[in-house]
Order: sequence, then C-alpha cells, then structure tokens
Amino acid sequence: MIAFFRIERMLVSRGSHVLYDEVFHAGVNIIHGSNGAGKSTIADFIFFGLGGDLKDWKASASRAEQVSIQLITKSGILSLRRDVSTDGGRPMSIYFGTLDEALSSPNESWQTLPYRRPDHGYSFSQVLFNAIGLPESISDGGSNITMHQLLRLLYVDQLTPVQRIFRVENFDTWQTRQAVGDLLSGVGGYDLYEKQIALRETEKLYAAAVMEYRSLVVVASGYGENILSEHISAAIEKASKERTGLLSLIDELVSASEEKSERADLKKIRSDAIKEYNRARRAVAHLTNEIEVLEYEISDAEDFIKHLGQSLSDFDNASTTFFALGHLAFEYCPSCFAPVTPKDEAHCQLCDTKRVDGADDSRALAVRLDLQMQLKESESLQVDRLKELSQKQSALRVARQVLRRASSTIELGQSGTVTGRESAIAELSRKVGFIDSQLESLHKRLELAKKIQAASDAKEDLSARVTRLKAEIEAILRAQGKRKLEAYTLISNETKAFLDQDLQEHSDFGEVENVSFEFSGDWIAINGEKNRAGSASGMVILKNSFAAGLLSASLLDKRFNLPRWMLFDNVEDKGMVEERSWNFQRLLVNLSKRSKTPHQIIYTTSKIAPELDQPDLVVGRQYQRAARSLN
Amino acid sequence: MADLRVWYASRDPYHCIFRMVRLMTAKDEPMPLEQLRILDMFLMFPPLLHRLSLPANMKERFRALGIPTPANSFVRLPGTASVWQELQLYQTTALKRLTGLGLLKRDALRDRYASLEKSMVPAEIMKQAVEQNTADKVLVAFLVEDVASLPLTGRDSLTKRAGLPSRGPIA
Repeated sequence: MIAFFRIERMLVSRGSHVLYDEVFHAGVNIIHGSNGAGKSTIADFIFFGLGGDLKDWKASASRAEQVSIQLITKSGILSLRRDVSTDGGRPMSIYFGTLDEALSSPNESWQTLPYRRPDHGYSFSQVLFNAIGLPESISDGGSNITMHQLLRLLYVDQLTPVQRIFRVENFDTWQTRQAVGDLLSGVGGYDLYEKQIALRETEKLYAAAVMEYRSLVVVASGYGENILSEHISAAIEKASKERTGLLSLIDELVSASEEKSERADLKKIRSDAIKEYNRARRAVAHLTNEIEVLEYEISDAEDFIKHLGQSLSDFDNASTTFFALGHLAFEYCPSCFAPVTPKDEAHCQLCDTKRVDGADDSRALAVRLDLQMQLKESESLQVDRLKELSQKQSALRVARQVLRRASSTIELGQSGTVTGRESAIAELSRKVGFIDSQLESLHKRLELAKKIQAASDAKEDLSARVTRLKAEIEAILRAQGKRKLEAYTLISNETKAFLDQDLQEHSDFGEVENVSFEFSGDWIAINGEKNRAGSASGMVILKNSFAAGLLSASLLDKRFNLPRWMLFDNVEDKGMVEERSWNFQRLLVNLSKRSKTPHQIIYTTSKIAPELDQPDLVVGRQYQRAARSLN
Repeated sequence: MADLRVWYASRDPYHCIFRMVRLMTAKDEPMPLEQLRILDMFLMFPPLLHRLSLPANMKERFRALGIPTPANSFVRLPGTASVWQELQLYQTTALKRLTGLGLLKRDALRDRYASLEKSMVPAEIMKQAVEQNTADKVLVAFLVEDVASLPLTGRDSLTKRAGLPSRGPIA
C-alpha cells in the first residue's frame, strides 16, 4: 500500500454556528471566487486542520473557533479537530471514525494529542504518519519531521517567495528540508530514519554518560586518592582485618575483667549506640522493603511489556487475516448465545449496524495505536524503575555498612569496660571506632568507584554504538544514491513537461532543457539558472509546475511517499493573464484524469477555466466579496 | 464504538482463523476437527498444557519447553473447561468461515477432518503463519506431533486428559 490521504469534508465552526461545511471529492477540487472572497482563508484552514502550524491568520478567519476535517487515509477514516488560535503548536483531537459519528459522540471519545512529541505517548503527527503510511522520521538536524513540515511542501501558498520550494518559515534548517524532500520522494527508507532516531538518542545518551563520568571523576578526585575499586577493596580488607584484631584484643581484656558496675557516661554511650543501631536497622529494613516492592513491580512490568508485545503481534496477525478474508458471520450471539438471524450483506452480521467504508481500518488503527502507546509508555517507565532500583541497591550497601558499625558499637558497650584495664580497652575501642568510620567512607568510595566504572563502560559502549550507527547510516545513504537519482530525475522530467505545456505566447522561459532543484537548498533552476529574473507570473508557473511535477511523479512511481495530495492557493498569482491560468488548470485536471492512482488536488482560483465550472470539480459555491466563503 | 478498544486475541475469530491455519500448516495432514480445536486452545494459552495429564515420555519433552505455569503467567486463566467453553464460540465461527471460503478441503470435512486447501489461503496469511510457526517451532512441533498423537476417544483420550467436557459433534 502506498502513502495516501484525502480530505472528505471540512467543517469550520464557531460554537454551534457553522461557518463552512463542504464535502471534497477525489481528484480535482476547485475553490473559486473573486479576490478577497476568502479563498486563501479556506486554504489556510485546510493547512491548519491537517496539522500545519499557523499563527498569522487572515482577518476574516478570526470568527472561526474550530476546524474539523474528515480524512480518509491508507489505514481508514479519521476525524481531526483543532481550535483556531494565534498561538503556535496547537494540539489536535482525533476521532477514529467519520465526522458525523464524531460530532454525535461525547467529547471523551476524541483523543487529544500534542503538537510536539511527548516523553510518553504520541504527537498527532506520529498518529497521522502512521495512518497515512509514512515512516516516523527525523531530520539530521535533530528536529522531528511533523505534519507541519510535510505540509510545507504540499501547500503552495501565496506568501512564500516564488523561487522557493517549501512554504516559508522563520526557523528553517536545510537538514529538515532535505529530510522532508527525501522522505516524500521515497529516497529515505524506514531503515535510515530508524537508524537516525537511534543515532540521535544514542548521541544524547553518550553526551549524558560523558557528563556523568566527568562529574563522578571530579567528586572522586576530591578524595585525592586512587579511585580504582580494586585498590579500595584492598584497603577495606586491610582495615577489616585490623578491626577484627582489635576486637579480639578487647575481648581478651574484657574476659579478664570482673568488675560489673557501670558509669553514667558509659550508660549514655550504650543508649546512643542502641539508638544509632535502631536507626540503621530501620534504614536497612526500609530500603530492603522498597527494593523488594520495586523488584516485584519490575518483574510484573516486564511480564506486562511481554504481554503487550505479544498482543501487538497477535493483533497484526488477526488484522492480516481480517483484511485478507473479510467479515465473518456469527451464528450465535457471543453474549446471550441466542441464534443470530442473518443480516443484510453490508451490515454487521451480529449487531446489524451498517458498515461504513474504511471504518474497520479506523478501528484497527485505533486499537493498534493504543497497544503501541501502552507499550512505549510501559517501556519508558521500566527504564526509570531500573534506574531507581540501582540507586536503592547502592544506598542499601552503604546502609548495611552503617548497621554493621552500629552493632559492633553496641557489642562493645554491652561488654562494659570499667576494670583496671579500662584505659587500654577505651583506647582500643577508640581505634575500632576510627577504623569503622574509615570503613564507612571506604564503602562510600567503593560505591563511587563502581559508579565510575559503570559510567566508563556505558560511555565506551555508547561510543561504539554511535560509530556503528554512523557507519550503517553511511551505508544506507550510499545505497540510496540510485533511488535518489531516479526520483529526482522523474520529478525534473514531470516539472519540465508542465513547463513545456505552458502557453508559449506568455512564457519567457525560452527553451527549457532541464529543470534542476535541491530540497535542502530550497531552489529550482531552469537550465542550471537558479536566480532567474523572469516575469513574476512566469515564476508562479515555475513554482506551481514543480509542485505539480512532484505530485505527478508520485502518481507514476509507487515508491514515492508523497501522500498523493497537493494544495495550490491561487494558481494565477502575481497578475497572470486569464488564458495562462486556465491552461495550468486544464493541465492539473488532465493530470488527475490520466492517473489511476487515488489522489486529491485542491486549488483556489479567481479565474476558473469556463469548462471546469462543474459540480464534480468545484467545491462549494462561487465566493464573492459580498458573499464570502465563511457564512 | 470508537471508544471501545479492548482487544483480546482469544476473543477475535480472525486470530482464531490465523491460529488454525498455523496448526494445519504445521501438521500438513488432515486432523480431526475436535483435535484442531483442542490444539488451538493450547496454542492460544500454552500455560494450560500444565493442566494436561501427559504420558511420562511426553511430560519430559513438555518440561523442556519451559512454558510458565498458569499461576506464573501474566494473564490469569480460569479453569480449562471455562476457557474451552469461551473459545468454542470463536472457534465455531472461525471454522465456518474457513469452510465457507473453501479453505478447508470438502471431502475431509465430510469425515469431520480439517485439512487445509493451501492454494486457497491468501499469501500474506500463509507467509505470516509460516513465520510465526518458525518462531515458535518447538511449541508447535510439540502440539502437532506429541499432543496430536494422543487418542481422541477412549479412557485415555485427549479430552479426558485435558479435563474438557465431552461434547457431541460440533458444526
């Protein structure tokens, strides 16, 4: 299946008041009317309704509150809804079904998705890409390719300077343009984008790992000693041995002592030690408990992730079977087991609801997206949990050391030391205490050393992954060379064909030998001349011909990802004479009639070619200043 | 209906068709309809195999599969008979569809045997079925070779071993 979408209906409203409600058809759709009648406003609503980012609205659009579009995609029917606003990055609400169904459904059955890709879940562009049949993509520059970026190439507006390919934008990078151009021309395959996403993520992780490694080393160097874990372990072992030796000396001295009375200060030491011991014990118990709960959660989530993965694969299998075999009939009702009476062929054999074309696809898409979204979210939560577990485990190791120290202090206290050997024992105890504190700090440093080791390993691992991904991307790019040449040649030839058919008496192109272009550079050239100083109307023809050439190429070659859709606002911009505009309009209609691939072309004009003013081509009425497009 | 999006493979007759195609492809010879249904239940819920009383030699091969027990599975399963009862609805629908579309050989069906008319299976289903069978090679082999070798009638029948209610002929 090839990438595809088509607008079936657009509704512009203010509260319950309908400002515009028209049905669009397959093939050519002409919106016509005199200048200033609101044609461009309609084009803007289409652009915005499909996900374009639009802040500068025309004055006449200010009455509108909502734009809703019924869209047919490769994966089924969707209804899209956006609130008109002068703020950028507006979210979109999506309903998986027709607009009529959507409007009669409660608000909760719409799903609102953000403009930008959130940490968990999807942006509306991702959902629409999925529905249209486009791979999820990023540009080399790092920003995601959104519906807005896509529409910049699919909407030929009036504000953009005529020598540009993309709709003009303030913040624009050549990488984004290149990625969009390649994506729509079918040059960038899914592999490349997956790898680019992975590379971008890995590079981010690598940068974070380097930062973490550096900051850990800085902390460790504060100790001014060796940070290698084997050295610290050796120091711990040495100190522990010394401590055991000291303890046995104390034991010897204590067992020789017979005095039992206690002094007040000793009593205090004992009670402090018990307090300390209880605190440490509670900390260990608390951490152990938390770790246990966390481990349980992790294993449960692991099972859930596996289950979701399995469900997704099962769903794909069921979906393949459904689309290959078609609807099936139930003999008995799955709820009450009563025999089901046969229904009309076009109705559900169980509940008798009339089937809507594409509705099954919409439901399938919705279920699939739900499963995917749950999976993605669960996976990202799992990463957080694993991180938390590792932090808690290292805190537990330190807490256990504190507990050991506290318990040995108690042991000493209980032995009592008030004999003649009192001072010797006190001195030994002091040494044990010193070693204990040393051990505690050594354990902390050991934790740090382990973290440094882990960070260093992670850093190296990530660096290797970055290198590998870069090499793989390089290889894909090399392999794409051939496809790129084919796609670009086809676009050039199709554009040239449109230019060759321009009305010669009005044309100042001369002999067009070749048309070249660059998505990244955002330019089109005739015979290698990038900055042609031709007539303004000639440049409009060039710009429109390029868009038409691009669409035409996608209709001829299935490998194009362009969704077989193009929107031209005012085909006779910049004072073009009527005949020349008519000629271009006829070329568009011919292109549409010739093509067997489903597609949609929407254009606005103030000079409709007389024979094209037919109900199957025109959308809505003829708009005039006195009777503008919005009611 | 757009808001109802809970989906279970076990309650989807299309998934049932897919499982049945998998089993028949793996077996590659006619099998009794009843056996196909039982194998389908185990393919859908492999942990239920733990509740199947198996001869000693087979038990050993089953243990090697390392399938989690029903108690340790993520999806909590009721008794085998309940699962069987619920699946029956979808299995019957699936079998009817397979028959109606000519995916089951008619002469085999007369003897209550299921045999796949391979030429009638859409290529994409076949491809996916073979892929899944390759991925679950060991389980599928255990089902179509070991479990399928158990008799369907008599004191030691598969139905009895699985603890399933005995039924009259199904559709």
